[in-house]
Amino acid sequence: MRVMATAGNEALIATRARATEAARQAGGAPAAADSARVADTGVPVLALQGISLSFGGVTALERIDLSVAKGEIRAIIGPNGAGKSSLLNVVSGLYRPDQGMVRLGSERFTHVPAVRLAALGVARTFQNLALFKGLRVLDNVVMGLVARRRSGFVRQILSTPLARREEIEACAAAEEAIAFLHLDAVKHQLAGGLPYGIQKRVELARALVARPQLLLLDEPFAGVTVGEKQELATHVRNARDAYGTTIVLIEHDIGIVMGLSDRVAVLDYGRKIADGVPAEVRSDQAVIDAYLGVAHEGETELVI
Amino acid sequence: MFEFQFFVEVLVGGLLSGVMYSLVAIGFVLIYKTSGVLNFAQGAMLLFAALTFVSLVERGVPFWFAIGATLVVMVALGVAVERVVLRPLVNQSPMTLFMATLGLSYVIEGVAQLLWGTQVHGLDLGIDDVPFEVGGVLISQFDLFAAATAGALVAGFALFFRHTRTGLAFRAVADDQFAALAVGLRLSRVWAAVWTAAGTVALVAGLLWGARLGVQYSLSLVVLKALPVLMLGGFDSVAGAIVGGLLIGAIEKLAEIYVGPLFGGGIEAWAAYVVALTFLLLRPSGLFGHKLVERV
Repeated sequence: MRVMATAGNEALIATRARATEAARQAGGAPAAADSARVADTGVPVLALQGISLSFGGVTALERIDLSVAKGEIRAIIGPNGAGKSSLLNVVSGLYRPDQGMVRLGSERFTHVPAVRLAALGVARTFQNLALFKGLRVLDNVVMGLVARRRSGFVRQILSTPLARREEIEACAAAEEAIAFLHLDAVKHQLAGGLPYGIQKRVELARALVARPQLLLLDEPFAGVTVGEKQELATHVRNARDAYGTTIVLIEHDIGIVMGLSDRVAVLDYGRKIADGVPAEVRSDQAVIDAYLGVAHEGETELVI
Repeated sequence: MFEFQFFVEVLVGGLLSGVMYSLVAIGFVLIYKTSGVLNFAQGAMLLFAALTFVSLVERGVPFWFAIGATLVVMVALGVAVERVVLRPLVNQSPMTLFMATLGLSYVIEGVAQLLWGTQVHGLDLGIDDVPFEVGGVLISQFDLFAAATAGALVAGFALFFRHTRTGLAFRAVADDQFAALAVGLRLSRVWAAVWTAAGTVALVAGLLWGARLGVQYSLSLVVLKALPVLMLGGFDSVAGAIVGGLLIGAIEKLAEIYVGPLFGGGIEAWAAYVVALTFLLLRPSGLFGHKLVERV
């Protein structure tokens, strides 16, 4: 039953995508509209359809649908153990969902191939950082371009024109990303010796240097100071504004998410309990219950 | 009666033979650093390289052509090992991987002897092993040549690691495999390149050791000389392998001359292990090794 329903859904989305594409080619392109609105009509950069995942008897995700529009900052929030990280791991191919489909741009996967992720234009950061601590900041950022490299190592040793041009381009791109995230002062230092908040920025620079279509941020604000949080949030917004990168972030800190995101999805016990613009989500009773865990009388709004 | 000049001579001789140990140890370090595998087959690869080279030369292949051909064979061997043995074993425990390379070392030795026979071959690199004198100290010409070759090899690798992006990828994988995967680096390609490099080192070491000891089955046992070097220098540091090799070489010779008589001689073979074990007790990660810091 559900398989059929899902198939129907896909067909519908595919039809819609073709229609939009046709409209665009006909010249009636809806130029960069308000990002929150685009979600319903444009081709989603990322779409999850009926994603379910369980570990043994524990259900981590249950029939999750989610669509992320181009140029949108999309947050996924929820209490501990709600399934946020599982969801991100499904998108980045670390987990294979039991059911459902992940669409990245025009490609559809039942299991996203993690090794092709960079080539598909997806970059991600990690909650506990995945930096090369023993390398300089600049080298860390250059490594973000590794999936783009075309010259093999024989060419690099021989220093052919292609290899040399790539080298120059890589350095220029890395320098730009470093300047963009205000990391100039530390670019020759070893990444492992920097303060945690700066390391987070280095990881963001490394993710951005390849100009990904889609950037997945895993709890970007966890473990940084309040001042650094505001700064980091500004950088995330700037990245979207400057490069048009679509951003999906999962986060604990509901306050910072509300100010930053275009749309917010809320997970609780593996199910999606709310999805909408921040104002809607903020006043949603189910969300308030999930976060505060108490029964409320009358009107309550989550004060942040 | 302590003769300073004699002491220097023993020391220099020890240091120069230590370079030969470093050469074997570097092969281990390259692979261990980037893939966490302690490749026991490094000695067998060394034997394979030397045997292939000698057999080609004996069949009338010109010297440089034989070196080139052997290099190609070693690269092919390295890539094949990565693909056939190590790739299917990704994520297995280090002990499993070690046992795999142990088995591999016997397979490589077996294949080498199957292909080229079991007799002992002489290997002449065209360098006279005539000692010459510097300020009253006798120095072996061959040892000096070996040291220079090793130095050039290490310098070449250092330049490669520092200035090419593949070198950067090497360093990145060695630094953090998870992070390397996260940026989309193809680990299998890096590993193939590393095994190629290790094969090259095996070729150089095989030629030098073969020229000194003769090319025969026991050549693969030089791995046992590399182990104390690795304990001393750390398993994941090229610099450590060099310094460790020099130290072990010097200690062996000095111990044989100055401590040996106290025990009736013949301690050269195991003096290195005594030092390495002592060192292991005092500083388990070696001189230059990566210290593991666990955050609790």
